[in-house]
Amino acid sequence: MPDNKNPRVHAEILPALAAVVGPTTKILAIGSVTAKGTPEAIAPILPHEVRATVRNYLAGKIEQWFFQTEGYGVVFIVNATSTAEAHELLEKLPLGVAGMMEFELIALGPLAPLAMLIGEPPRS
Amino acid sequence: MSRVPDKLAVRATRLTRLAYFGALVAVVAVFGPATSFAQSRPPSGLDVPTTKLLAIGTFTAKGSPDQWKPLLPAEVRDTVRLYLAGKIDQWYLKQDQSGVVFMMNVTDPKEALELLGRFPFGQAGLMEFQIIPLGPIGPLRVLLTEPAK
Repeated sequence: MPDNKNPRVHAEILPALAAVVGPTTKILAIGSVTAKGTPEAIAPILPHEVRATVRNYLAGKIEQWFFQTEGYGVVFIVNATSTAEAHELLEKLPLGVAGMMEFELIALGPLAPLAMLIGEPPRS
Repeated sequence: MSRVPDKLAVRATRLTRLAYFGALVAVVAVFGPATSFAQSRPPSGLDVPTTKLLAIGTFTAKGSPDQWKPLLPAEVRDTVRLYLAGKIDQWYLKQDQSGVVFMMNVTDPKEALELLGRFPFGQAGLMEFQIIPLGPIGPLRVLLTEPAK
């Protein structure tokens, strides 16, 4: 472990980002309506979808929820520590069960390079 | 003297137009979905304003570690500056090491791309951002059609 008191030398000592994995703290879920999800097909399911989503929010699983204002879909920030955990949660939503919505899942963690500002290389 | 009545007349006309438009929207909402909405657009009842932008930054083919490592300290500082300016609301690292995800307090994608394009990685062509405009979760509106419990 190099002695790195001087923040200006971090460019040299910082390992490649590949070596600075922090913990996965959130999952970004980008939900898009599939070809099956025509408005008339979705309409009767939507009230159930909304209720299931609110339940997930109340359970502390869906932390933030947004609607895509261009295109047709949602964006959730999910309190899960793996994409598998988020997938299990979201595939049970009615539109997912009906094959009308698909989620792209992206595992997120703390902005590790911020560690440079406090004179420490990010740790794995 | 005639300005006030004129104004009222204009307002009445506007109200009439608004009512007509409202009725039209209602009609389209009831009969429209099968025919008039492209699949990629939500039904009009779900319209919401854009309040945030999701910015997904991904390293380009040029963005190899030997290219970005020397620029990282400056990149971090620019990111913190944009946060302090109130433009970046949340920041995350993608765990697959492909880049970053920002939630931005910006509603114009062009502005976001311009702001992020000034960062060292952007200037050097090492990172590109995909912007997804976001708004309130419109479907929550269906809960309002029922009486309060």
